[in-house]
Amino acid sequence: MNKDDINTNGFLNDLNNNEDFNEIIEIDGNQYRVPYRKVKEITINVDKKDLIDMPHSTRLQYRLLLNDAILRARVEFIKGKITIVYNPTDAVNRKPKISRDEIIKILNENGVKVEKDKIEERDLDYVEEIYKKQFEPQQIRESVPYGYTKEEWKKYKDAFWSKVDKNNKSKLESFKEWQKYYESQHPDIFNTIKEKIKLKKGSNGKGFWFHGI
Amino acid sequence: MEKEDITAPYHRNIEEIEKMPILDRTMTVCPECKLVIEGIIYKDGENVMIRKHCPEHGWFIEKYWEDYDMYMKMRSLNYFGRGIDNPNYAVTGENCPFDCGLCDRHKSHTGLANVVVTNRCHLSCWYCFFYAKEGEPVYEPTLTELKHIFKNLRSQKPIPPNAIQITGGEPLLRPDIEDIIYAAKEAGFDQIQLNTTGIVLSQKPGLAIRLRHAGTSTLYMSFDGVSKRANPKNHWEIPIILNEARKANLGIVLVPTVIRGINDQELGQIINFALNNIDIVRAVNFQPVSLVGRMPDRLREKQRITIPGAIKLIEEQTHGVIAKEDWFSVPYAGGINKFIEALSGEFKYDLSIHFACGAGTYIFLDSDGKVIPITRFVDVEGLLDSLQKAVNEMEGKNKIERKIIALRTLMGIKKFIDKNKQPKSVNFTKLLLSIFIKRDFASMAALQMRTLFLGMMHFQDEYTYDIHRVEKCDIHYAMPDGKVLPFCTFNVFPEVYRDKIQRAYSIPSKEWEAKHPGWTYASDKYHRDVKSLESNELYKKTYLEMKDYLGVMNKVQMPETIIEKEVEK
Repeated sequence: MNKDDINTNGFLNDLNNNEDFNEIIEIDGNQYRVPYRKVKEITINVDKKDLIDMPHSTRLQYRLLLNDAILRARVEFIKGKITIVYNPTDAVNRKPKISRDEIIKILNENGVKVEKDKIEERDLDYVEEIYKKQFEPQQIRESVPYGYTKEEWKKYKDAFWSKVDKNNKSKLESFKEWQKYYESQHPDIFNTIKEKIKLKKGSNGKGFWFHGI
Repeated sequence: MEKEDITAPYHRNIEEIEKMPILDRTMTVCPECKLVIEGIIYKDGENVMIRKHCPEHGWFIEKYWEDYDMYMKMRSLNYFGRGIDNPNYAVTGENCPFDCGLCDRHKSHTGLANVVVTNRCHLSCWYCFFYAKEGEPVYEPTLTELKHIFKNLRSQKPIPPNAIQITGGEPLLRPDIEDIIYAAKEAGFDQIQLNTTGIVLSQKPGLAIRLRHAGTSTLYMSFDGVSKRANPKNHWEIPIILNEARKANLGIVLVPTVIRGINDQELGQIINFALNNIDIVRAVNFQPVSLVGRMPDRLREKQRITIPGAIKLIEEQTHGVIAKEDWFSVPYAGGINKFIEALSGEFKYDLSIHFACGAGTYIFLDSDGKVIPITRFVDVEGLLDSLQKAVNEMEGKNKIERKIIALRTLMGIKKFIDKNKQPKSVNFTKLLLSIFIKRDFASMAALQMRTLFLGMMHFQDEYTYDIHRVEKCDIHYAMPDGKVLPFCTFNVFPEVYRDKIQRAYSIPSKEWEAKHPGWTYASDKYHRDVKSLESNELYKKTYLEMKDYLGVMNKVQMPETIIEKEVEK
């Protein structure tokens, strides 16, 4: 392998090693580029003294994240626990990789001793357990409008959200109407005939950020 | 008394600094090693400073706000928003700012969503690290991937963002930019901003019309000054861009990045330029520079400017026409939305960003050419105070009682408006009532058409970093992996957020080249023909026939003098 090829962001190197790997996945008939498939997660219980305190734990998390092959890092000072999701050396993809031993070395360099028998490791499906979850997050609480109680909100929230849906649809319809008007104003650009189209009041095709949903 | 050098607060000894009055305590990071450490915000004469001590790298002193009185005024209206009910990254955020995504701890919903559509750019600005250089991967999500990102943003609860900024690189390098904008419209965004240098619009007549037709609301356009020296980026193309935007009726927000010693002498002139083009320029959004990355201390101290620093320069340069008392922090406007929400029971934007992040005001250009800031005829503080009292009173009341309280409050609005001082061309009481009663975009748009909005947005860097600010941020970036990041983690720690995630989701250069035969990094670049642009009639008209509304075009700074000299050359 020519060194220059490796330097072109590893593409040829990875292509040779993983030539069948296709970054594209399909969800509901749509194709998305997702760089990882099977990755690994390790959970390590460590001595809290090694983590020093919360600010140092936070910095350790930052230092772990500096490595492109570490996709997620959580250093929990209170629990004395470190969780790392990483792209292992045997993964089939075209991205930077790291081994478990290399991760342990980084932790050791940062003053954290790791006992190998205290490491739990599992395979993790990046698409199912990270990518999809971040695109479809769980609702963890329910806010209510200012000045309203939870009980009041419960009574009218369904009606409110269906009104929002309806408004969104009608907003798009009125925008399309405005587009026709706009096309008629610019026949040279849209190859249309200039005609008199009357717009509804307020349908200027613009929006303003101030008012919310 | 002799005025102290602007860099003096950086060079006092620490014993002296420690005796100064403490205003606030926050958490920040060491600029060198990113250790989370305490930040102490203190008063040093007129300045508000932040000091921090890293056990490994020592003391760091930085300007936080350059006006103590303004700091105290803005601080009085700081409030927490509701955050989001369905955060994309399910962690508690105890390791802030390295737990971003958004997490459970974040206190503001997305107000303005930034979506990067490419990292290709036709310019190579010296201060920008963001564009793809020779051999680097290209980050350019497909239209389908962008729709996925738009949908993700719009599913935020309880308040999905309705403002989006399509950004880059240079978004206009994408051949499918119209489809992208329409997709954002389809996803439900009302306000679609296009962050661009505008140069492509000057090259492709009619493109502005197509973009407007696709759903673009405004061009968010870099404009660092009126002179060539201050604005080498698009000074020559601006006249053509304005002309194209006029034909399309496409509003423009001018965005000057303010750097002390580089373009700070032109702030008044920039506002005057906007007033001269008020038919198409809707706002000027000044951005005091964020000094991200390593730079020599002396240079940083000299170039640092904060929101009040820029505001005071505007006051000075406009001879008090736009004074520092005319400005308010963003959370002030939150009171209006809270009132509307409490009245209607419909969720409205929180506008709960930190008071030190942004400020704004409206100025009116009256029919006689007089410039009148809103505060000269509206008692803004009194008005907001009365709205907040109404919100508090409405709590727990039934629908009818709420309406009575609202009606009583609205009836009292008149007393906050001085009719004799308001612009002749505006009936402000009527306008305001229609905003509250109709609660539609058209009312607000009607107000915008007669005014120029002046905004300030100061993004953070490692030196000014304040975790209280970042956890309240509502200008977010939506990422290709489903995460949503506050502006000041995305850009301040690119090594663990922006660059890292985009690198992972980029297309390797070889693959990009294979898919785009004939394309090279160099072929994206723009080459300017200065002579031809300067000989354009629009160029002369735009810069030479400006009216002086603010008394800013003095002999030294007059742009036409500079232009004439250069034409002679």
